[in-house]
Amino acid sequence: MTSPITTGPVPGAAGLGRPAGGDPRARIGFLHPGSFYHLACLRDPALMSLDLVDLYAPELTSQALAQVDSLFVACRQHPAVMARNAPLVLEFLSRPGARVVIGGENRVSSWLPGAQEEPRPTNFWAWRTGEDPTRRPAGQGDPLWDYLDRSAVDWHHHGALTVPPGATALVTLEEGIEPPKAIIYRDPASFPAEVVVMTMDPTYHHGCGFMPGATQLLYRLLGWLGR
Amino acid sequence: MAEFVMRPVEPSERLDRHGRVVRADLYELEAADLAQFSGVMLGISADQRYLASHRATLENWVRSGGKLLVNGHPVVPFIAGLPQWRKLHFHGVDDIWLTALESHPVWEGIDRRDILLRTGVPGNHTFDDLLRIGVGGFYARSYMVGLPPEARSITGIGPGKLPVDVSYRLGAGEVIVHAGNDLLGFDTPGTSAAGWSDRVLSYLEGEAL
Repeated sequence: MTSPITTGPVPGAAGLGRPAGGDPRARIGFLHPGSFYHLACLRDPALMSLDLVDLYAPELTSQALAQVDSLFVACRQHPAVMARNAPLVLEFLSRPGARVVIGGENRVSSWLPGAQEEPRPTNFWAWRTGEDPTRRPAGQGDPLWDYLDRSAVDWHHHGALTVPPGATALVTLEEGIEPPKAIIYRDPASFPAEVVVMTMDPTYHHGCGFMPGATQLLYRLLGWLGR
Repeated sequence: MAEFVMRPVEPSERLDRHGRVVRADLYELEAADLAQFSGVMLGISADQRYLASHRATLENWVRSGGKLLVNGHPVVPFIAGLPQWRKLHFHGVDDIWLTALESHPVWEGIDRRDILLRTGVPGNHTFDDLLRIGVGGFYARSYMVGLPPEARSITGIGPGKLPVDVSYRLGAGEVIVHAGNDLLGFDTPGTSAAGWSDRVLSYLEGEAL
């Protein structure tokens, strides 16, 4: 179906493709399980401008991953499909210098070596009542902060992560635990690739269309992946 | 009744809600014997590409008399007549205000103010309290277009009262679409939505409400 007011590319349309060579941008793979919110992300005009490579999780292959330079593992993957795909993602993490983001609600403790996540209740109303959600910016000076800002990481979280050796927490939880747990960290040490792990679920909330901070986080992390 | 969700389901949680609902992984749909169920619910996270690739399975079951409840935003047309999601811009509660439109047994008696706002602050809250501290958007924050000609538009959003709850006949069956979080999540004690989940299930079981 064509639209009389559509003059630009439409989702899934075969375009002219990106130029061979000379494109300074990293090619970003978007790994997702076909939930409406992931499909909505792929149709977002701002994200279409990034030429994300659509990696449908039930059909992921190492050949498909070979086409991309960096990888966004969308939040809320189907757990069994994620378990099947974990060796492929770990193979990707063995690429020196590659960048990977792993969205929240993906049970990372069960498949990502060194990742330890504990559940935390989600406060979705603190911004209306002024309650302190105990999130604290951390890791000032970390290069990931060049891409983030406070609004991108201060909306809600679903869990608490132990920060692996050599990793930098970007936001910690002030809950009387030492060292503090994180809701997002950048880990340049555990794998040849760099990985960002978090307990926020930006693709869910951006694709649902109701959490402005989630949109900020998604756009800004894709900026980091596409550098 | 069957409910398909986007995760593996342990044997211990297969029978839910006092044995009324058989819960299964969405990817079991192709092997399921749908004929034994009067109603099917799809969770919001359902893989819509998978649903589209098994369109005939669901559609034939509905046409033969099944009642299908689709939760979430329909982005892929995975069954005949399925309306399509459209994004809504909103800046305040008026933009996402919910209005009762055409009647439907599932929504009979539901005051839409009781499902508009929620909070995690403990205690009972008046609607005026919730206007001050509540959060909206859980029930709906977008709308649908492309309704079949005979479809019922049951709840509307915003000043334009654009459809967020829709039902339509398909063959001998019915498709109900709720473009928001899972409908069974809005059962709220002390409000007009108290006991709502039971009513939704009863309707999908084929009971006349």
